[in-house]
Amino acid sequence: MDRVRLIPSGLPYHATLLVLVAASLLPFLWFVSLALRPLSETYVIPMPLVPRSLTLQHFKDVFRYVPLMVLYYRNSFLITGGAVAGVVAISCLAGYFFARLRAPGRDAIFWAVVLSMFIPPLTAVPALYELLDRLHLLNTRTGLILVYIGWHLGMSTFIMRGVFAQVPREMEEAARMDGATDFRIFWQVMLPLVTGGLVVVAIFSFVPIWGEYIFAFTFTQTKEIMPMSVAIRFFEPSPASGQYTLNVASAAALFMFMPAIAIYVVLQKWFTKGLMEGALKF
Amino acid sequence: MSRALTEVQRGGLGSPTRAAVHGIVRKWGGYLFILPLLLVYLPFVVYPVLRSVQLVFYRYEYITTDPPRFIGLGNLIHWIQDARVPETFWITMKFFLLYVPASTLVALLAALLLDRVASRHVSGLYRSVLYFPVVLPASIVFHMWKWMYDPTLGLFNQVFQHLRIPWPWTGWLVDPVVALPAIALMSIWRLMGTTMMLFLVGLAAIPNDLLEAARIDGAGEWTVFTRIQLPLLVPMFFIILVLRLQVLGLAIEPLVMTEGGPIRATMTYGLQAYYISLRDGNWDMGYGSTWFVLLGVLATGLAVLAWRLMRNRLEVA
Amino acid sequence: MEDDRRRTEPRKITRRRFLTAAGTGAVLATGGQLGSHVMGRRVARAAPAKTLRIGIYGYMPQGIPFDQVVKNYQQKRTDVALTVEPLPGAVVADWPATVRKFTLEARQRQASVDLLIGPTPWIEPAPLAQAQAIEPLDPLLPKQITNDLYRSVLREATFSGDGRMYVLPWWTDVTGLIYRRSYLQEGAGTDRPPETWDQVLAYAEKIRAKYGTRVYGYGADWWASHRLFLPILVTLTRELYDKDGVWKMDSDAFLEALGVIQKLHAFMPAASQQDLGSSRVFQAGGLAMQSYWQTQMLRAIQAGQPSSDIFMAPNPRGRHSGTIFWTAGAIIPKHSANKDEAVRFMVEGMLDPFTVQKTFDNYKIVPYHSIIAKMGDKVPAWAPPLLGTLSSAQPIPMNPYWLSVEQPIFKEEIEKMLLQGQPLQATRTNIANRIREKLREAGKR
Repeated sequence: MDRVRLIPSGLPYHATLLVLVAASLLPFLWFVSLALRPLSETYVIPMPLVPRSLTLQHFKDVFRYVPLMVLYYRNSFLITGGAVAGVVAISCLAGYFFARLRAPGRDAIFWAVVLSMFIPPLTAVPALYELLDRLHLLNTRTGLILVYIGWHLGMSTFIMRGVFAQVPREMEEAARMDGATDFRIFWQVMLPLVTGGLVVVAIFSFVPIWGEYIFAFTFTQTKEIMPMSVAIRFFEPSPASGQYTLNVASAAALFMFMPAIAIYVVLQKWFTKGLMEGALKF
Repeated sequence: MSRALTEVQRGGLGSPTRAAVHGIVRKWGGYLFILPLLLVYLPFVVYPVLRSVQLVFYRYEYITTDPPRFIGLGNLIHWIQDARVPETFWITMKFFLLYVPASTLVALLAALLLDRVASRHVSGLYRSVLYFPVVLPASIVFHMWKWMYDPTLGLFNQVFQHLRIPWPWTGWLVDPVVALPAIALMSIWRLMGTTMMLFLVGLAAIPNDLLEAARIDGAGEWTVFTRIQLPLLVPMFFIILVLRLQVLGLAIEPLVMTEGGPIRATMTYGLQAYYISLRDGNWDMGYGSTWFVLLGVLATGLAVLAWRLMRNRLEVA
Repeated sequence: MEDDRRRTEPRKITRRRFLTAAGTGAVLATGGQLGSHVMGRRVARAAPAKTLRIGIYGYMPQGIPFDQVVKNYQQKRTDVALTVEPLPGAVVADWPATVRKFTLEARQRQASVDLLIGPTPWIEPAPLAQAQAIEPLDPLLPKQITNDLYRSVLREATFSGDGRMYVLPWWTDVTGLIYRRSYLQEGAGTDRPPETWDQVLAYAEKIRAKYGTRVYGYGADWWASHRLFLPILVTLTRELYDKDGVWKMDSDAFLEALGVIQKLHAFMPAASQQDLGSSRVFQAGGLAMQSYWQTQMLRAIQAGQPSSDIFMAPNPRGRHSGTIFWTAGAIIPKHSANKDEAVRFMVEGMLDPFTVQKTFDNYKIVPYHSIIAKMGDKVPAWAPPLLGTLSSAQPIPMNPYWLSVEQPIFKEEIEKMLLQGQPLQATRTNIANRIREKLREAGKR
C-alpha cells in the first residue's frame, strides 16, 4: 500500500535526486567503462570519458587469472550468510534486552559490547589465531563465521537497541498487563515493529563481512575456505602484476558486486515492508 | 507490580518448587536474551581485547624471537611524550570534520527527498542506485579512486579539462593540502548510502498521521521538516554520530591511497598506530596496542557521553 | 481460569520450543562442521604419504602458466601429491599481513603451506628470517644450484643477521632506462640513448623544449629509494652500505645522488609521485624516458604502445656504471611438513627448462649461469645487456630495516625536499639522524 500523500512529489525533488544519483553513478559508470573498454582506450592522453568501442575481454580475463572464482564465491556466500544470520538473530535478542528489560549490570554489559566497535579488529588477530587453533577452528568456515559475528555485534546491538528504544512503551505495557512474558512480548509485539531495523542490521553487517580481508586472510589457508574478499586482492593493481590489470580488476569487482546487489534488491521488499510497518504503528 | 498481579490472576501455580523455578526464570530469564551474545562475544572479542590490553604493559617486538617483556607503564609514558600523538590525532580530527558533517547532510538530504517521492517503485529505484557504492568491494574502490585522482590519466582532471574549468588543485592525492579532503570525498561517496538508510528508518518511524495533520493544517514542507521531522530525527542523529566515532580509527583508506603521505599529510592516528605495530622497526606491538586501546577508551567515552545526552532528550519526549 | 491456562501453556511451549530449536540448530551446525573437519583430517591421513602444499602469490600465474608447471612436475614425480594454494601478497598494504600470518603459524608450530613462492628477499623474508619463521636453505640445497647463481643474487638472498641463505631465487628484475626511440629522435635529435645522468638531463631539457607538457622528458618513482635513489647512488660510489647493510649516509655520493634527483624532478610528470605513476604516463605515450625494471617495457607494449619503438638501455652512468636489481623466489616455512619435497620442487619444477622459457617470455630474468647457457639462442634480445650489468650489480641487503626504517623515512624527507623545497643538506641530515635513531630504538631490546 503506497503512502497516501496530499502533496504531489514535485520537480525540484526529482531534480535534486537526479543530481545525487549522477554523483553516485558517475564514478561507478567510469568504473564500469573501465571494465568494458579496451586497453587502447585506457592508456591514452587524454583518456576518453566514453569509450568508442567496448570489449568483454576483461571479463574473460578474470577467469583466466583466477580460475577458481566460483569456488571463492561459494565460500563468500556461505561465510557471509552464516555470519549475517547470526548477527541479526543475536543482536535482535540482545537489543531488546538492553532497551527494555531491567537487569543488574545491563548498561555495563551494553557499553562493553559497544566498545568493540572502536577497537580495530587488527589488534585481536594474534590472540584469535591462537584461540581458533586451540578450538580446531582454523581454516574452517565456522571459525570465521563466529569471529565475524563477534566483531559485528557491537554495531548491530547498538542499532537494535536504538530501534527497540524508539518503540512506544504503551504497546509493551498493554501486553504486560495481559500477562505476557518477556519472550512473548518480544516475539509477538516488538519483533514485527523492528523488522526495518533488522534489515538495516543485515545490510550493515553483510557489506563489511562480504568484503572483509584481514581475518579472512589470516585464518583461512586453503581455497576451499578462502572467500572472495581475499581472492579479489589477486586483481589489485600492484607493482608485481602491472598497472594494466585495473581494467580486469574492475571487471572482477563487478562480478563480486553483482550477488551483493542481487541480495540487496531482494531485501528491498523486506526493507520497504519493514519501513511501512514501522510507519503504521498507529 | 503488574507481575505480582498476573501471578494472582493466574490463580495458583501449583507446588512451591514450580513457583521458585518461575521466580528464578522471571528474575534471570531476561538474561537468556543475551546468552547467545555472550557465548560468541566473550571468547571471540573480550578475550583477544583483554590480551591486547595486557600487551600495553609489555614490550613485545613481533618480528624478533624475544618473548614479551613486562615494562609496566613504559608504553603509556612513551605515548604521552610522543609528538606524533597530537599530530596524527589532529589529522584524524580534520578528516572527521571534513567527512562527518558533509556525509550526514548529503545522506539526510537524500533520505528526505526519497521520503517525499510518491511512487514506491521509483523511490526504491533511486534508493538502490544511491546505495550502490556501499556494496562495492572496498579495496578495488580505493584503487579505482586512486586512479581517478591520477594527475595525468584520472577522471577528474580529464573532466575539468574537457569542460575547460580551470581547477587549481590538480594534484589530488599528491598534493599535501588536497590529499586528506580527497580521501574524505571518496569516503563520502562510498559510505553515504549507509547513513541514508539509517535516516530512512528514522523517517519511517515518524507516524504518518502527524505529517498529514500538519499538511492539512496548511504547514509548508519546510515547516513540516523543521518542526516535526527534524526533532524526531534527533535520536537518529545521535546514533549516526556514535557510529561515526569509528572514523577516529581511520587507517585503511590512507594506507592504500597515500601510505600516510604526502609528507605525513594523511598520517591518521589509526594509520600511525598500524605502522608502529606492523611496519616500523621491530614491530612494537606493545606500544601499538597502547595507541589503539587509548583510542578505544576515548571513543567509548565519547559514545557514552553522546548516549547520555540523547537519552535525556528521549525520556523527555 | 480457562483463559489463563490457555495463556500459560503456549507461553511455556513457545519459550521452550524456541530455546530447543535454537539449541538444536546450534549444536547441529557446529557439530556438523567439526564432524566433517575431523572426518576430513582422518581422510587426509589416509592419502599418499607425500604431499606438497605449494603456496604461490596470486599474480604470478597471471604471467607464467604455473598450473602447467605443476602438471609437468607431477608427471615426472608420481609419488607426490601436489596442491597449489594461491595467496595474495606483495601488494602495498599486504606484506605485513603475510609476515604476520606466517610468523603466527611458526609460533603455533604450524605451516599452512610447505613452500611459498613469490616473496622478494628484503621484503617478507627478511622479517620472517629475523623472527625465525622460515628455514635456512643452505644445508638443503644442492651445491651446484647455489654455485650456479649470479654472485650478486646469491648475496641478495642471504640474511645479514646470520649470513645464511633463506630464499631460492626464481626470477630477477633489473633496473634500466626504458625509452621511446621516436621521442628521442624528434625531441633530442638522436636515437642513441643517454649514457650518463648528465646526458639524461640534457635530453630531458630538449624534449621539454620541443613537446611542452604533451610529452614529459623523464619519469621515475623518486619517492621509492630502490627505484631511483639507489640506482643513481650505485653509479656514484661503490660503498653504499655499512657492515650491517645500512646505508652509508654521510658520504658525498649520498648528497650528490639527492641532487641528481632534484634536477631530474623538474622534468617529471606530477603522477611520478604515485606508485608506478610515471610508468602509467609512459604506457599512455606521454613520457620519453623512464627508470624502471625491464618488465615495464612489457607493460607499455600490453597497454598499446608500439613495441618497435620501445627500448631499454642500461642504467645511466655516474662515475661508473652499475644498477639495482631484485629477485622473487621461494621460501620454506619453519614447520613445513615436507621440506625435502619442497626443495626438490624448487630445483626441478621452478627451474626446469619449460618454466625458465615462460619466465623469460614474461620479461623476467632467471639468474643462473648454466640455465641461461642451456637456453642458447632462445634467450630474448633484451636480456643479454641486462645480464651483463647483473654481474657487477650490488644487491639490496636482506635485512628488515630497509622496509621498516630506511624507506619510510626516506620517502617523507624526499617529499619535503621536492614538494616543500627543503634544502639538500637538511634532507640528508634528517634522513641520517632519523634512521640512526630508529635503528638505535630497534637495537635496544
